[in-house]
Amino acid sequence: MTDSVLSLIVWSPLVASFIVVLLPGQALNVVRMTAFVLSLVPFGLSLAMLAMFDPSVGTLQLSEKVTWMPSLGVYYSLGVDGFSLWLIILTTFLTPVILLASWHDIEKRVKEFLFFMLLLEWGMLGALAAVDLFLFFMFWELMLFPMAFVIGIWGGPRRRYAAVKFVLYTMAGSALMIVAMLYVVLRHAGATGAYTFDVVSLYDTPLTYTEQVLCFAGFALPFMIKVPMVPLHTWLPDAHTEAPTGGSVDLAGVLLKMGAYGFVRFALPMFPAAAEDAFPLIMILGVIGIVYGAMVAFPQPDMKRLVAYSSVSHLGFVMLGLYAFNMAGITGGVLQMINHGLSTGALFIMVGYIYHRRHTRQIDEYGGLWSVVPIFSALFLVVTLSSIGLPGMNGFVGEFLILLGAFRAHPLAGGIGTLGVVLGAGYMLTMYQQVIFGPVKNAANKALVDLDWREIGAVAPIVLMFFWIGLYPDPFLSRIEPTTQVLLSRLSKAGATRYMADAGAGSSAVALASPGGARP
Amino acid sequence: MTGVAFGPAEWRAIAPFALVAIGGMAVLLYEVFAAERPPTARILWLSQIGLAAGLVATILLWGRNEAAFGGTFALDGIALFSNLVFLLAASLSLFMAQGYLEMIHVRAREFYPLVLFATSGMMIMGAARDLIVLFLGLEIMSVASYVLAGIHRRDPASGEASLKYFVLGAFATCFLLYGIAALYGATGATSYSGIAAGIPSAPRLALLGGLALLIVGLGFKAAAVPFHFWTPDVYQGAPSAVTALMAVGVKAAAFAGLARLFLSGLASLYVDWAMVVWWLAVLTMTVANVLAIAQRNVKRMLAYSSIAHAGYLLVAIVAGTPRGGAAVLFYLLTYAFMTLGAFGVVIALGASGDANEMIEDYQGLGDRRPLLAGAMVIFLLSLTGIPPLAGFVGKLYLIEAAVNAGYFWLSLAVVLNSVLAAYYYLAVVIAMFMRDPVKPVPAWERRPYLSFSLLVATVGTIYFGVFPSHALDFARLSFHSIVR
Repeated sequence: MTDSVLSLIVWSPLVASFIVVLLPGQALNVVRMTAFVLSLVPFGLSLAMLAMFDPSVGTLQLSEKVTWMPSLGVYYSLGVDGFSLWLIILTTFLTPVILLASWHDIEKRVKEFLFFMLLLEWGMLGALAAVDLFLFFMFWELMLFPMAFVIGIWGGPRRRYAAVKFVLYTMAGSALMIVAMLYVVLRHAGATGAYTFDVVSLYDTPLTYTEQVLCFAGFALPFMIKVPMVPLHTWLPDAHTEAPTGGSVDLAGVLLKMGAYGFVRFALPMFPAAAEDAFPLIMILGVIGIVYGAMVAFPQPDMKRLVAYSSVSHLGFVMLGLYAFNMAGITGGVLQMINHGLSTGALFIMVGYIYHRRHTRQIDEYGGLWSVVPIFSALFLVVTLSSIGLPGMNGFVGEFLILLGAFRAHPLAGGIGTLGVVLGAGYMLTMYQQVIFGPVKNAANKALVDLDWREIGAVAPIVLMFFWIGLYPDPFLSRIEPTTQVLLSRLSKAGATRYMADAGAGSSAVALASPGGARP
Repeated sequence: MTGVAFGPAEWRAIAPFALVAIGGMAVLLYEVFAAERPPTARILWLSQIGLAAGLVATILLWGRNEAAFGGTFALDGIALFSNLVFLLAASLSLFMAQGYLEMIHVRAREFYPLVLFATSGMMIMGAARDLIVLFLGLEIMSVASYVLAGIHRRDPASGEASLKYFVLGAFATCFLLYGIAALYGATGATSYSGIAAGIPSAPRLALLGGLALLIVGLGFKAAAVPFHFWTPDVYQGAPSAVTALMAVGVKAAAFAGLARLFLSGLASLYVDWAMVVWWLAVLTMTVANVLAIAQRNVKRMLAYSSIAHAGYLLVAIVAGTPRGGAAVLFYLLTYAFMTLGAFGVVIALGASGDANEMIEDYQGLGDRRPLLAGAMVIFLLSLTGIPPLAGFVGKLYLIEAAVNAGYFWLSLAVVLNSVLAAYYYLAVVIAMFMRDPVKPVPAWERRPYLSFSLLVATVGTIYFGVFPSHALDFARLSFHSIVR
């Protein structure tokens, strides 16, 4: 199984989606249960992958490579390293959670919903596991449409607008990527005679500085749209607000990570010199994103929109970390992708729970929920604290490492970033306080029913992960670090050293940040 | 032309198109001499046999690379590969017309032989290595399609389409003829090899004038902006099965002829025509895509979309390399599957007395007829250029040819246009899946021929997206043989 575990993980959701479609459609709970059980298969397989993963190796492993289109140099090529490992597991982990959490959210066209969710999982997993540019691009586009369908069919009142905006933004970005991609492939073929879309081979394509800048722009733009970085973020609040809970969780949990992941997998190692010179741009946009996202989140009357803007802010942190170009920053950035997926995913699920009961997300419709639904309130508190990075929980570890790295790379950027942490606590706690504390102002809230076992069960595994990463992040960090090391040495080999602090000092910083204590 | 022997090579060269033409005549005669009016299904199958004979000949001759009739007629990869596209278009159009023609009360049986004659004309165009032969093929194809466009006699729109197509087509033919005359005057030859040999010593003015006139004439048939004004009206007015044939077959024939002429006979004038075709390409795709966004009628929208695809194809011609030619051929194949499929869905929705062509008519289709809507999504996404569908690989190959030839900005224009196009293709998807029906979706009646055509189109659209290698290799070999 070692040589095909990635294929099994990637393709099992597709098989599952077709099984679900072929089920008779009347018994909704049977269909839901089947989809849920089938979605546990890729999760189980990804745990097996985790067991097979060799933490000491930083390069791609568990690789598979089969010739697919020989005349184009396209391979069906999969692989996993420290960057994609946890994102793959996050994806397979979130899908069953989503299916469980949104059990009763969708009452019309249930089968189609489950079909699209599983199809979406397939696309996301494929994009994370692909190490061939063509294959990556295929999955990158493939995950777009299930998401658009989920938003457009089951979304809120402005769902069609949001779906179209989402598709067009992403396509505009990927249009540029495809030209840049072909250019690199052709340059590589011209230099070596070998026609290939294999990413690792393309890392060493000889490009002039101008070519690097143009191609980097072609790759960075779609990724920046996906992250999303200000000012390319305007699709996100709409998509998030209109999407049903399940769509929002996948969107926040995994889809946004594709942008940041694209940077570490493609844009940075392929065009190191241009990537390095983009440092001021990305740093400035990242910092603006952190502060702007937080400022805009503050006054939002709609809980979901507030969380959506908080995503803009949090993803700004991730980019800040990745662009610190040092051990702490990049490792923290990659870990923060996971953290954000867990925290924001859980936030959307909690908002979804309360929306399902009251059919409104307006903050001023609520208040005093603690006395009515204590279990919900307590869970919501844990999730909120995780999102603002309380020490002992996951968000703290990631943010700490990122800020550590950022300070080393550029103290001012780190300083403003820290401001974002404060603001984050501000808007999240304000929202929490308005919704949960105080007297019950609205009579409609008096009869709210507290969470049932299914709803608690869906969020419980995420909460468990909050504390695991928060208290003992070592298993996570130790698998990311070797890959960070590989990326850093590639960058420094290419001369991208201007902003790099020394990598050795980074590791000790990681040890410092992990309250788990001593590192092997 | 005297002294040309009619040997085995000549027989082989004419075999594919001659068999199709003979099939057409046989169908015609059968209808005349049959004791009683034969059922349409029998006529259909007889016509399909004629097309199949052409297909068998094409397959048996596969891999040959020779010239006949003193080098004016080619039997090579380009001719054989494009034959596949023409035969596919003709065969699926015939299948899709079955039942559809009765529904719109067209009883004219000449539909079947005319499709076959048009097809044989296309096949001549794909094989032409001489301007006169090219003209011959073009006229055989055009005359048949003028009649086909107006075959729905009781529908004024169909009559208008036919007349418009005829008058403007005749006008364009004049341009083509003047172009041929000018080139003949300048180089003393009509064969591509003769023209290529005569170009160095020919007077520039006559050469460039001839070139310009040729571009106008062929640009009309290929429906390139600014020679496209007939296209939306004709495509919309003609019966949908005929539109499918025109959008795929006629366009493919124009491009097969264009590619061979520009990449072999006029290759040494590359610097002169490249810039013109560059602008044609950019104008064609941009104007068509912008206009398509405004359309509410799906059939008309598909007409504009087919113009836009002509623009993409021109990009590969601009590249001027064997790679570009191969990209044209491969794109035509992928384009055939997805476009035929999309028109097939338009036909499937049409009901007696109500064509159901407006975008509102597609609302709720995803819920009521999920398979049909699903097939439409596949065709539309392929037309947009979404992997892993055929349209994506085709477009990738076009862009690759352009980037490889150094046309960076042109390739950027293609991809940005794809985003523009995504908007109106998506509008149909949104109507089908994300809006509630405004009127009852017509019930599905059993139409096995149409279902079969849609199945073939769907399978082709997916297959050539996932496994394009063989077809790509064939296309590439085809052009390496003619361009040195």
